[in-house]
Amino acid sequence: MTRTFAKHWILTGTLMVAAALGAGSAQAAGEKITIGIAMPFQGNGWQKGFLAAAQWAASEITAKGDKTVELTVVDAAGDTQTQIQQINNMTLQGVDFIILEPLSDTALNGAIDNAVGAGIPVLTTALGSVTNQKAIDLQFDYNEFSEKYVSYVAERTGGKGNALNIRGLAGNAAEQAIQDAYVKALAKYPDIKLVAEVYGDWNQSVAQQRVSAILPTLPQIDIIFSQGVAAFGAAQAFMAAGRDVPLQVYGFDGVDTNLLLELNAKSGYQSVAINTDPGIGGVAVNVAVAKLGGVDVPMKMILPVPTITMEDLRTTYKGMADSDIAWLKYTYDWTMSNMIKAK
Amino acid sequence: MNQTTSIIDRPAPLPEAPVGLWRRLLRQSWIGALAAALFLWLLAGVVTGSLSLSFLLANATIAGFLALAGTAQMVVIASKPGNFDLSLPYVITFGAYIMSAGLLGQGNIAGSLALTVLAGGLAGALNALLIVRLRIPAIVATLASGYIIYSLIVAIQGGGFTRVGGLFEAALRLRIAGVSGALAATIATLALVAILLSRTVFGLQLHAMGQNGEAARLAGVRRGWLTLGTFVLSGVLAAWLGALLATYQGGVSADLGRSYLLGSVAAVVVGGTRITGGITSVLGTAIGALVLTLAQSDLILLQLSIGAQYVIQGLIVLGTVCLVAARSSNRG
Repeated sequence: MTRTFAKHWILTGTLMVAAALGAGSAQAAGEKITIGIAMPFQGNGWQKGFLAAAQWAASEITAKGDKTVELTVVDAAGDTQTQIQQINNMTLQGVDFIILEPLSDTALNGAIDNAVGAGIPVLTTALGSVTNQKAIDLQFDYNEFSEKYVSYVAERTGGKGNALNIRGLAGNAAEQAIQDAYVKALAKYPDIKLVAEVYGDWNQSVAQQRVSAILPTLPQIDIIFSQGVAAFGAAQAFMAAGRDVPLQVYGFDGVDTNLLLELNAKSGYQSVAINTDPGIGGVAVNVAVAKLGGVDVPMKMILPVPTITMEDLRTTYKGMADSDIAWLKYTYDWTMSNMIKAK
Repeated sequence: MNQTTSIIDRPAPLPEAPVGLWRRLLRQSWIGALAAALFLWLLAGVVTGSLSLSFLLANATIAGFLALAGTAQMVVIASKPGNFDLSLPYVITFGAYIMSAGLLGQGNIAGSLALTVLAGGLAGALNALLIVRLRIPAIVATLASGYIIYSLIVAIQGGGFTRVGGLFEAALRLRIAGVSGALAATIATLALVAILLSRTVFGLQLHAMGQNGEAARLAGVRRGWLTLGTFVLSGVLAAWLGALLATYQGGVSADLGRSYLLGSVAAVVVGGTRITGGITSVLGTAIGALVLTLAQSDLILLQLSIGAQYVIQGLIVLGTVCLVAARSSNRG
């Protein structure tokens, strides 16, 4: 799988030189660390990026020489019961650390108790938090995401226009959190009117079909909100109907970024990509290594939501294939000074 | 409609001969669905303030995709009481990936299409092999093959994909008088399947096997080969749908086919086909798909909460099943 990520991209702005904190120096040279990664499902660009970022971070730390980081990756294929078993198995196998993308905020609490009881720290990330307070939590802030997203769009349209809102998976907690954050961010711009709302199920195909079906009845649409997932599908629906693609923010998938570049080449269309970054997988590995090295890691950490501009797409992320996804490289040192904030 | 006379879409001429066109129409199993589709179109007109033909055609394009999935499901349902194809969404997604992977070279659209259809046929053959050779019930066999195909999808996905694009995409997106190329392609496919089911020996034997497998065997129907043909047809239709979706929509994702599992069964049911086997109606399934798609759009236009949308969609399926059951028991 790493072969498709032959090009690794670095957003140079995120690379920060930090005072090296020799957390590892107390360890014996060549110490082996095994980190279990419980993925929720594969076959989604974002998850591929997450895993690639984790593997990149592991190889970076291993390359430094005093530690060897090995990843044990399991995939629950979307099933919570499977994920519970996988956590229990990893606990029995005695991995050193578990990075968990939880499929449920409550069902995994028992398995997490088992792991932590056996001396294996558990970090929950990406898919959401769990109610078990023993898990270290590394997340994005949806308020920040929505704030960035809405303010970019509002700035471009002068704070007004008709908007189509494409929501995600009905009944999902993260979906509701993003929607609530949108509503909060939109309160500042009363002249942006939501004229229609569809559920795209966070599925490009479903989003495209539902938008296509109601498109003939819609008035002029100036803006699309898509939770950063359905931008490509929404744009394709407008293009297939022979309408101009409204202003919207794109995601980090290759299909999204390539479409943005294509639209720009055709008509001078401008936008940016804002998304929750799969690079969080690398941060999670860095946090794991720090924790195992005896660093005092906070129980709650928030990774900033990055913006990728068209200029970045033409330079740093040049030549992405449709199946690639952009992710940022967060080094161990960056993680130490910005996430863990170790003294 | 009587089971034994419903091999083809049209009912057999009734003994009292000259019956009005209207009465004959009213006897069709899909007439209720057609009325519902018209009602939903008018409702959308009332909600938006103008009756829009382009709204109907846009929905018909989407419904065409669902109708293909429904037809793939319908032939399996018809082949034996209790048969379902649970591998359908995975075969659709698999087909979409093969279409987009460019295994025979980038831009070789004809080659990719042939490979996609072949893969769909092989997936169907795998299902038939499990069912006929290992005597596993279809619902279990297709569940198992679905997992196998899913792992193939994950594998093929690692190799990357690109937009199909080119002439094929342009043709599917071309619109003449509001009718998209994709809609024309699905209608042509459905017409072919309808002829295959109503005018060929294969179609006749498929219905016979679904109505009474043992009687069909005694009459000389080779059930193993027929099951193979049924599932290959279903697999080819699903993979072809995947290729259409990947090209028309301009991209693929691993969850492309997900919504088609329940949707395909619902389209068959709402189209007025009983799910006890032995009966097919391509036209009914197509109208059923249109009803479901229009209902979805209407509910969005009515700005109902998502919970209410799901409840109403469930009620539509349930109501149709009851209606079909009532109609057939009246006939005795």
